Amino acid sequence: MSTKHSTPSWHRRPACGASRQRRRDAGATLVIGLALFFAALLPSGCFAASGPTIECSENAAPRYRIEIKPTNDDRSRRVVTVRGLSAKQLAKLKSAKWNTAQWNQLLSLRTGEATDLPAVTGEYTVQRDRLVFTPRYPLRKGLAYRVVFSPGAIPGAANADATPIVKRFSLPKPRASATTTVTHVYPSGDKLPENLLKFYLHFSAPMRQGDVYQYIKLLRADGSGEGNIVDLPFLELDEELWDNSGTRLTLLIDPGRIKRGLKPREDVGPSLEAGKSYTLRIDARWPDAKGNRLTKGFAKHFKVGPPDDVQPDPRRWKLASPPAAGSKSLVVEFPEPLDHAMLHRVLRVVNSEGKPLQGKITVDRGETRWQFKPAAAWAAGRYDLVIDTILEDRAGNSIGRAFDVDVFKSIERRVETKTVSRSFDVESPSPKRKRGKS
Amino acid sequence: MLKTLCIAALLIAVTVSARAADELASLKETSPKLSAAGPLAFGPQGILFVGDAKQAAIFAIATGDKAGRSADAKLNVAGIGKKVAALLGTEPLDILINDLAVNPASGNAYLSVSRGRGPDAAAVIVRIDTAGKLSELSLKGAAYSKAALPNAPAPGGKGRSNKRRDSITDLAYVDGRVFVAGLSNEEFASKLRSIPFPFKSTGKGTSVEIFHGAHGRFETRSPIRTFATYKIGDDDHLLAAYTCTPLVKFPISKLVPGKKLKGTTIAELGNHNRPLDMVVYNKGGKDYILIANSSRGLMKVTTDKIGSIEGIEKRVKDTAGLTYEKIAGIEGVVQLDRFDANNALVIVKAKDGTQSLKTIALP
Repeated sequence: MSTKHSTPSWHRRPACGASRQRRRDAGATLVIGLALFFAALLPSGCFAASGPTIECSENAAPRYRIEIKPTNDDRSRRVVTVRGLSAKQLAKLKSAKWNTAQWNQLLSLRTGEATDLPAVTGEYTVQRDRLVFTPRYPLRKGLAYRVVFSPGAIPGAANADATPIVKRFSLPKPRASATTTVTHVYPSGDKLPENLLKFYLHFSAPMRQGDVYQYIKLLRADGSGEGNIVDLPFLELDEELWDNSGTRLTLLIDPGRIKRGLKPREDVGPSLEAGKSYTLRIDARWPDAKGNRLTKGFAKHFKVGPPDDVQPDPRRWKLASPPAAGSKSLVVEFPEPLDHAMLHRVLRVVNSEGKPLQGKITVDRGETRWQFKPAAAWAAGRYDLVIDTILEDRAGNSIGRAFDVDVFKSIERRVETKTVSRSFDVESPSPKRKRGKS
Repeated sequence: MLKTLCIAALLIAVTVSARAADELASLKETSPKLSAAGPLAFGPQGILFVGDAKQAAIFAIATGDKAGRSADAKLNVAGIGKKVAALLGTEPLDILINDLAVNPASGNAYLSVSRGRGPDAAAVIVRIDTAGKLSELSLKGAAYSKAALPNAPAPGGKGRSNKRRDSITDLAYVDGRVFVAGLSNEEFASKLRSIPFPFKSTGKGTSVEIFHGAHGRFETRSPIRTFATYKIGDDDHLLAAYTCTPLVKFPISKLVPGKKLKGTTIAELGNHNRPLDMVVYNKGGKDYILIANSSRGLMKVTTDKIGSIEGIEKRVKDTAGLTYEKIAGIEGVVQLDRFDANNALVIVKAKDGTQSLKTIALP
């Protein structure tokens, strides 16, 4: 292994001030010639490595070369490599029992220029002819990074005060383009109960999390000025209620702001009041997970009606059985809108042996209709629609219990079982009379 | 007599030591893989409990950080958000500090952090030693055990359309049990789970649906925002802070699976009260509850009548029950934990968004 690393002449650049421009590695002959000319003039050098880098070094020992390279197993990840170390130096580093601080002293990757920030965490390895630093997490595109390599910290270095070599770089930032939209807001109706419990906001792509409430406003519809914003209507949890894909947010109305009984709370009043109109507004500046804003804002206008204190009751649902031998949908209609999300999860169709059927669920007509289209054709027989009693309406009343239990009244219906079911029969279509030629 | 006391002390020491050894020995897996790092709590022997909402699980991780507490240590790190971001190779906008916990054995602080702001964010635990130096807690080779939360959806759920997820709002370790408060992003129920530790492969603990009286006539299922444990007389209690009816006590012995548990409201702390964190401490021979509040900074609540106070059952104009005072001079507290007997550790957020870690004297 060579202890002196020969640097291709086209890698050499003038001193720092002049080197702050991106190298065009498709070097024309003229450029190479100029580089050779400057290289011959300058005794010490800065070395631009391959990759999207800007490099700067001052009084650097010319034999060390810092490169930012894609990793072998993931081309989107980058590692920092230092070449030009002698076999002896590499052997010493390989046997060094260093802690993180000692490694950082030799080679560190840092963000920006501040000197009081810690080095980027990662792993140091000594490979055949180089020292490699693998950042623990992928580098952020567009962020300015700085690599500091201190030859003086190599074990047994002749000059412990040797000037560090500094290399600055950033990865190209993708061009911003707004493509994400609000696809749905549920409940989808435009008349909602005064004790509404939650909204579901659906997006076409994963959204940025952690500060969502600044982008969501509830406004009284008698104007659009700041004065008409309902103050703190939502339950602002530290851990926001996202689904795992990051495309659906559950927005709970603060239970302390839901109107109860004859009078609202005496303090700040309810978020929603019957007879009034409101707008739920989603700000277009809300960035998606890639950092791009929404294509446009979203507004849901709605009127508020009386509270809904009635628990959903599957006995009141209308079931329309499909015929056998086809795959027409089972259609279930509810007398009131139910929770959009739960309708996709807590209802299932089982056959007479209790085995769930595979199929596709569709919820429409303002969450008052549920349809199940089986993957295979219906066989004649008896089936059950099994419903988890946790299924809620828009006010959080479930089949099992009401949202708020008024202890002065005894209207609540408690269902202690976990599921209830409705049976339906799939019958063979009656044979059609043959129309023979007469 | 002295001999008897010595033997008793020795027996207690042996029992405690054996139990601690059991607790560490129960962490049989290595190299935990967190999908999300939410609420944190310390148990014995430097065991860190981490709530992972994505996996609907609680991890118990051996940090190896079991001693070394310095009596007069103070931890102050200006620009903690910037420093955490720099450590993780990114910018402050790209991280979220989800929780703060102090290891009582060492005085080191731990942060649960999301590196990234989307669903693919990396879950990271950052340690800040008492010298203010940051490092990532390496999970490679770390011993751990994991408890799946009861009623969690099966991996992958019922098909791809399952978007349900349990959120974990707070957790605490008390005397061989981990308490977890949370709610789902679909059905609305405030659940408190009690999971025996060491975690067992069978038996996932108990899940109790809890309520509190509100405004005289309603039983409410509002979710617990944060809670702490406190002994009233001989009985361990949970003190739970809610959004609308802030402080409620529950006797831990009454957390029986399948039973409805109604807590006693012991304080209404006023309008627009959004509690974030709470700790219990003793000063001058008296116990107090310190609550970090999104709009009021810190509130110091007396416990003088906590055992005897009647539950608040009537609608109140503003405040009622246990009295409190607002601690002046500290605003924007977003995280709070007890640092030692005399100090608390807080993260404060300035108006420009800069976050700092500060040790403050318990008021």
